[in-house]
Amino acid sequence: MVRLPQLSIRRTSVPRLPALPQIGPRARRLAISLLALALIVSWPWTLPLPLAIVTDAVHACEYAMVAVSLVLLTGWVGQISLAQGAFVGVGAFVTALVFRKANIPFPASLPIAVAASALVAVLLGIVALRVRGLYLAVATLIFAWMADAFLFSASWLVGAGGSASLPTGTIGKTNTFVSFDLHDVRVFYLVILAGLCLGLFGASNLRDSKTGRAFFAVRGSEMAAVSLGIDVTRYKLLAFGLSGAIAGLAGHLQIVGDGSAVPAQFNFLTSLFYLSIAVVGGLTSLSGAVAAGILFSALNEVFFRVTALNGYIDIVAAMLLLTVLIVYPGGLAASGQTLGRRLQTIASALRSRLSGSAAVEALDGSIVQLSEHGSSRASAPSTVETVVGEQGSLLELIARARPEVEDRLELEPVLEARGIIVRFGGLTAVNDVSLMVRRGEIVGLIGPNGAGKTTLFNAIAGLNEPTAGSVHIFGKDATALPVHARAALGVGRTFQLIQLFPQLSVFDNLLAATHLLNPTGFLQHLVVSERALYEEKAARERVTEIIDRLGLHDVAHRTVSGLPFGVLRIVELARALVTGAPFVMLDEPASGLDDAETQKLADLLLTLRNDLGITFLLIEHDVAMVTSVTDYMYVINRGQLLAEGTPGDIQRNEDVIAAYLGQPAGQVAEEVGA
Amino acid sequence: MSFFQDAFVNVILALPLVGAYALFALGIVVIYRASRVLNLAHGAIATLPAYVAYSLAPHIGSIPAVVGGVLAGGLLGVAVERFVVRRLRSVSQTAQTVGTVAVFGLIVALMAKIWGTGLLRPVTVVPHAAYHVGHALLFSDGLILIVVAGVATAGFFALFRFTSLGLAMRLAADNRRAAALMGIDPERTTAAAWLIGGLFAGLGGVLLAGASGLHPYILPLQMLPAFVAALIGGLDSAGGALLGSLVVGMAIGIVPSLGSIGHQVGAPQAALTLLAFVIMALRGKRFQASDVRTGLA
Amino acid sequence: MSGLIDPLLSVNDLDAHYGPIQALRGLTLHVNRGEMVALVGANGAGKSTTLRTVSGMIRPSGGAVMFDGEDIGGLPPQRVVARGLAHLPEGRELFPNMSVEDNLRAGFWVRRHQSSDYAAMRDRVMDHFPILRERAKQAAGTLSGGEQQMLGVARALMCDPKLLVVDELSLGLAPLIVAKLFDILHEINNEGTAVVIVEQFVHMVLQNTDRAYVLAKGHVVLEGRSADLLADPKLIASYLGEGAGHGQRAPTPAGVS
Repeated sequence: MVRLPQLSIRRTSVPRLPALPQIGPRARRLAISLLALALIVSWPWTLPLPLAIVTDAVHACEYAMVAVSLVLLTGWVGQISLAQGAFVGVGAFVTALVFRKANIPFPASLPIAVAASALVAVLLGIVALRVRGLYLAVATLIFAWMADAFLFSASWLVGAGGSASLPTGTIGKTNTFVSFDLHDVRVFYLVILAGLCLGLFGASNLRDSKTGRAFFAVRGSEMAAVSLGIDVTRYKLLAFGLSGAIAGLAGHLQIVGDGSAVPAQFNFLTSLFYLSIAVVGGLTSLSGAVAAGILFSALNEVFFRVTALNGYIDIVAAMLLLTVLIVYPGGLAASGQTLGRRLQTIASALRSRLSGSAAVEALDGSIVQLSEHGSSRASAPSTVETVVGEQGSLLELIARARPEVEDRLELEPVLEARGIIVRFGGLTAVNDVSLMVRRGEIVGLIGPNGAGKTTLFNAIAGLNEPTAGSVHIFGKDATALPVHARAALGVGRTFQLIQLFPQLSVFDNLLAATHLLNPTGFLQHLVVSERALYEEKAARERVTEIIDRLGLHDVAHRTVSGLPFGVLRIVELARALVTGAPFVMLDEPASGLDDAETQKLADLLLTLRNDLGITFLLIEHDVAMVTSVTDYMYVINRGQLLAEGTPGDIQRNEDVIAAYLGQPAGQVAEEVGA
Repeated sequence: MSFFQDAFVNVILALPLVGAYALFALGIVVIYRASRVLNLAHGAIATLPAYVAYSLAPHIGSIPAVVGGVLAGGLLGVAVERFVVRRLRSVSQTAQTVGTVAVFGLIVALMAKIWGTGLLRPVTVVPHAAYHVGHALLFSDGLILIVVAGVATAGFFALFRFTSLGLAMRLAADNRRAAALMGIDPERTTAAAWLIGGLFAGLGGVLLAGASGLHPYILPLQMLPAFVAALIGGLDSAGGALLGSLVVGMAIGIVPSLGSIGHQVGAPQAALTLLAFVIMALRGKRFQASDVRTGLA
Repeated sequence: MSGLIDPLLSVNDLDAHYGPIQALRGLTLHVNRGEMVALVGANGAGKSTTLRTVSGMIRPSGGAVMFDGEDIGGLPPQRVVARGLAHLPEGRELFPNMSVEDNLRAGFWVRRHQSSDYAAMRDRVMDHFPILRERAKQAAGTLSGGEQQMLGVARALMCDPKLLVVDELSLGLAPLIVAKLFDILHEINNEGTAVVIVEQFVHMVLQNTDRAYVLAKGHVVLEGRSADLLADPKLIASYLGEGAGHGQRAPTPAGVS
């Protein structure tokens, strides 16, 4: 926390003005929103602007819609798509197709067109399950190429003559009061505005929900996401479907407005154009997408009007994309944020000047700025004090959270691995190892470098499948279960190389861990149902409580990527606690910590076990730490179980000492057969 | 005319395309091996040289113009690596690839602006002639493509086998870290790879333009199947890229004549896409980008 | 004999990070010309990090590295090896798809302009490891673990370095092979090359070196003559914690109890 310096202000030197009338902030915001809404809806009629501007606004909405679909898919879920133009095209051509073949007009054809593009997108999404990153980029590129060459050349889809047409009609019955003539571009503007708002509404609802966090988790770290119980496959396909739906909606509305469409409008170059818009907007921001849509439409208009600039629009668009990528990856959204902050400082400075306490508030504003940019490192704690008081309520917190796991807690053992064998090609990394962890124990797994303990750990965690052997968790056979299913059984874990979600705050990282505790689905999130709101509130309360218990409130709203390493280790542990998992696996938790931090970690583990009854299994290289914290240890060497026992036994075990330090030369000579 | 005679003719006629794709695919592979980046700007880097040659030809003659174009391609490759791909290395592999997409858009837009969107007559190196192959005609541009592609490919393999630069590039591609430990500067070998990739792209682009016309949108997009060719070869194998070029070239050349399904517009593209997806699905493990999260570092 | 005034390698107060993790905290050590020095310590102590920082694979975030009178801190690996410091990394980092011969040629890269020496050097190196002569055309990735380690050492020797740093010599190797490798290292040490060996298994390496440093949590906790350290109980404690040590055998594992 930042302390404000004490200042003495000579109020007599500042002229006193009458105080501004007090309008409550909420009422003020509501009034401004309504005013803005009225303006946005009515300006084509009320403002004396040429119709061409309205057409530009229509284009801006179209661009924004496709950009929103990219924000969802690429920005939030991290699935790069160079094929967005193809989804838009499917929406357009299917609209014309159902009209041509089955006489279904707008708006009845809307759900069909949207469903078709969603379906096509999901098919592409299936490819995304196997390939990632730049290879997905190429896969979507190839798809876009194929769509242009094959799909949109098929006469059954596009219609004879290579172009599809759709008579522009009306909504509602003509000649009655309530009919809208879509030939009037101003009316069409309202239609497409409605479409954009629908898309924005749905997307922003999703973003602030369990579904949105699952999306961010998939992008942030698939490994961590599955350990939190998130079914990555499902969410990827969902994202493709939603993105395809929004893009298809844009295509549907596009052909309704234009009256016709040709395949060339939806080729790879168009997809590239849409990607540019999304990236310039900042790729993860909805408001950025809208802003970028407006920007590009405005540029289009300007470059069209001004003869000297004719034909340069594509160059400018490409340059914008490159510049944002290389120099300014935050895009319009980031610059919007900075601008917003500056405006806020100016606004509060102005406000206070008018009411007479200028000095303090201006200082306040600039200190806030400073603490956000400059000295933030200094104010972050380098160690974290554990405060676990009021054991009762925290125990309740854990127990209340996972009723389906609670009754299994009575079962012993928590984990039983029998006869695990893991082979990679010709190499046997783990050779017939069995281990058991009982409820309430802290068990350690140690061994020299390359001994196979990480492989064993991953086999238990579900990251690789054992060649033979079984893994039972809380009595259930988990051997073939994918990681997210094991999480549902009650297993949490941390990672050696921290797998937090870097662009999210500590709070949001922990909130993502409430995934399994929240039974609501994406449809409920889309419409913000009562139940969804209730569950969201409960999730936030839970995270807040755990943050307070572990003393993380100072860093709760800071982005994870700036924090010191020791804090990150605690955050990962907190994340496992949030899931309510009664059994937590720790992968080298002391790695990278100095002596003091290691000690604090050991204390924390003991406290969590003693007060909350959480069971731990940890791999560690720091054997001293392990012996101080565990009840039982397993030692692996060369893929086999070398020894097991209490820490004291292990420390004095000759075989273990030999495994770590090597045998004295005399002994080697004996073994070699002198 | 028997099926086999038909087939034979089709194969010969498809060879120029195979040659073109081979030149492109080799460039894609050498760049990928060095940078682990798929240069999605390759089509544009291939096309701009054709325009450069077009503009230079009236002043310095056809062959010097072609050479100038090819050199421009090489320069372009080095520039893209230096100013876009290298800058984005600290972000992620994916960002680098998106960067090349952006470069693609930029170059295409520039070409359209400077030379217009009409179809131009490209530079030809040899007098226009036609040769009979069965009942069809093989034009001289096609023949040149086959010959040049063959020679260039041989040169490519010779470079890597017999020169110390080739050795350095192979070492850096096999294990970048170890190469540095041996004294090889990986940034130099990477620049060399992009230079060679650009030169080959330019060569293929100039010659392909000769065969199919000069257009800022059509020509770059026509090059896309080369990515499929490289994919078929596994992305990091030059030999595989050649095989892939054969498959892709034959597919595009021959499929249209294979009965009613083949006659569908875009049938070869659909078939190749299916093939590419199947390959990606089967060899899934290979196509996990390295920036798939391994930690905050 | 050691040159007390002018060590070949001098590391002072070195800090190094892997992203957010601090792996080295104020590490200080030195190596004299012609010496053979061991770096031991438990896993995660920072031994490999030390070598990587010295050879340029990691940039130091603080402190200094001096080699043969020059400040090499922050230089990239290709410049460091050009000055005569060869690093055989953990896992060897061979060129897996290239032949044994090509791997050796790679090792000779910094001296490639003296190409007349190549054949002679290669033959000398292959004399140490005859198995490599048999496998000259084979791809390095297809060799067995022991053969790969031999190739790694052979490759590092090709540039005739002033200082050779070896990371985890014995990983996955049978004791006999490790003993043989140590013999070869002794030979080249006698010919004038200083050697630093990082090793997890202390006994063998302490018996084969002049001096040793024991690392824990990124800095030196114990140092001295290898022979002295062998008998020091603090050594075992630094690996297995306080209270560890030779004692009664624990009961043999009886499976799941």
